[in-house]
Amino acid sequence: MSFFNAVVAIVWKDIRAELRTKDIFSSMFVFALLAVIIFNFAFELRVPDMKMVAPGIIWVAITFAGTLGLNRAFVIEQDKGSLAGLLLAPIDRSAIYFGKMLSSLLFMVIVEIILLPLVMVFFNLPLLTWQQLLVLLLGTYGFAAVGTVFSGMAVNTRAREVLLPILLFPVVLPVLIAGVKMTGALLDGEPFSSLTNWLRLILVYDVAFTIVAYLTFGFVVEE
Amino acid sequence: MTYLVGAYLIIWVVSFALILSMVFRQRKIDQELAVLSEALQDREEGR
Amino acid sequence: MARSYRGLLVLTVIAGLGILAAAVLALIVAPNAAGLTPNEMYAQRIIYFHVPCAWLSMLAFGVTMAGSIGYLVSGRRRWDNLAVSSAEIGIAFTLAAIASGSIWAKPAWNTWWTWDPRLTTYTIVLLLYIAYFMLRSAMEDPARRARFAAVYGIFAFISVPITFFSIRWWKTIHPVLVANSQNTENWGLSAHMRPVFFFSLAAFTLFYVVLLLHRLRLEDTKEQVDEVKEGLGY
Repeated sequence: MSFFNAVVAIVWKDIRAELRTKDIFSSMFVFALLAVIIFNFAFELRVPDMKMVAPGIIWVAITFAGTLGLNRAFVIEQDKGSLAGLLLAPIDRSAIYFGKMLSSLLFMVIVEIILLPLVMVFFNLPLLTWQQLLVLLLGTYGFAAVGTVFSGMAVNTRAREVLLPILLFPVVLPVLIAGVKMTGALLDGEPFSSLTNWLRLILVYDVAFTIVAYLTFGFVVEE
Repeated sequence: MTYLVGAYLIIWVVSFALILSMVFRQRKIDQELAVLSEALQDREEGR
Repeated sequence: MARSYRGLLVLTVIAGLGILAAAVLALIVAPNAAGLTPNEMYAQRIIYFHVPCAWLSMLAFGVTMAGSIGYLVSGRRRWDNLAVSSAEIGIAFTLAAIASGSIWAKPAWNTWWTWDPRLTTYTIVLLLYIAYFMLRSAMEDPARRARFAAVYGIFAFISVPITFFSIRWWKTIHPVLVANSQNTENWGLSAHMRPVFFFSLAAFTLFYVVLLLHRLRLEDTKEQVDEVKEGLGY
C-alpha cells in the first residue's frame, strides 16, 4: 500500500469512527467553550479591554482542548487493540504517524472553526480573517505534530493521559507564544507583513519537529 | 556580602546533595549486588 | 575494575581541589569590578560560579541528547545510561544556577526574580527535564523506558533554542517591563578577570565529568544487578 494511501486510510478510519460516536469532537468543543467562558469570568472585572486577553484565551482553550483530543486519539487505539493491527499492516511506521497526526489536526481545526465565530461574538472581535486562520493553522499543526508523538508515549505509561500535558506544554511553548503574539498583533490591526519573524519561527518549529517526529515515531510504537 | 556567601553556599549545597544522594544509592546497590551475587553463587555450587 | 576505580578516585580528588582553587581565585584573587558599590562588587563575584553552572547544565543536556540518539541508533543500554546520568547532573546544575542567579539578582536588580528571556527559557529547561524524569519513572519496562526517554530527550533539547528565541522576541516587541540592559551589564569581564573565569569554567567542567563518571558507575552497577537477577530467574 502506498504511503499516501496508507495515511489517507488512517485519517479516514479515524473520521468514520468519530462520526459514529462524535465522542472526541464533542468533548473537545465543549471543553474549549467552557474554557473560554471561564476565562471570561476570570478576567472580566479586572481587565479594561477584553481584546487584550482574547488571544491568550483562545490559544489556551486550543491547548487544553487539543490535549484532550490527542489523548483520546491514542487511548482508543489502545483500548480496541487496533494499534497492533496497524503495526502488522504492510505500511511504513511514519504513515501511522502522519495519519494520526493529520486526523488529530483535522479535529482540532474543526473545533477551532466552530469556536472562533463564538469567541468573535463573545468579545466582539474581528477574528475570521484569512490571516488569523492561517496563524491558527500553523500553530495547531505544530501542536499536533509534537503532541501525536508524546501522546503515543503517554498512553503507554503508568500515569497514562495525565503525563501528556506535562511532556507537551514545555515543548510546545513557542507555538503558544507565537500564536498569541500573531493573533494579538492582527487584532491590533498590524499588517501581516510585520509578522514575518514570528511566521518564520513557527515554520521552523513545524518543519523541525515534523522531521524529528518522522524519525522517532517508529520507536514509540514498536513493541 | 551576604548574598555572595548565599549564592556560593547554595551551589555547594546542591552539589553536596547530589553527591550524597549518589553515594547512598551506590552503597545500597552495592549491597544488593553482593547479596544477589552470593545467592547466585550458592545456587551454582549447589547444582 | 579496581584500577580504573582508583583512577576515578584520583580524578575526583583533582576535581575537588580544582573547585576549591576556583573558589579561592573567585573570592579573593580576582580583581574588583570597576564602578560598582561595595555590595555590587561582592555580588559580581557570583559570576565565576553561577555562569559555569549554567553552561555546564546545558552541556549536560546536550550530552543527554547525544546519549538519546546513540541509544535509538544502537539499542545498547550504555547510551541510555549516559543520557539519564547526564540529565540528572544537568538538573542539579540547573537548580544551582537558578538559585545562585536569583541570589545575585537581589542585590543587583533589587528583585529575586525577573521574566527576562534567559531566565524564563532556563525555567522551561528545568521543567523539560523534570518531565523527562517523570516520564522515566512512569515506565516499568527498561527497554521501552529507555526508548521513550530517548525520544523525549531529543525533542526537549531541540526545543530549547526555539523556545529561547520565541521568548526573546516576545519581550523585545513590547518593552513595557524593566529595561533589559541590566542583563548584559556585568557580564563584561575585564582582562584580569578572564583567567579566573576560565579557570572556574575548567574546574566545573572537570567536576561535571567526574560526577558523570561516578553516576555512570552507579548505572553500571544497576545493570550488573539486573544481570544477576536474570541469572537467578527473577
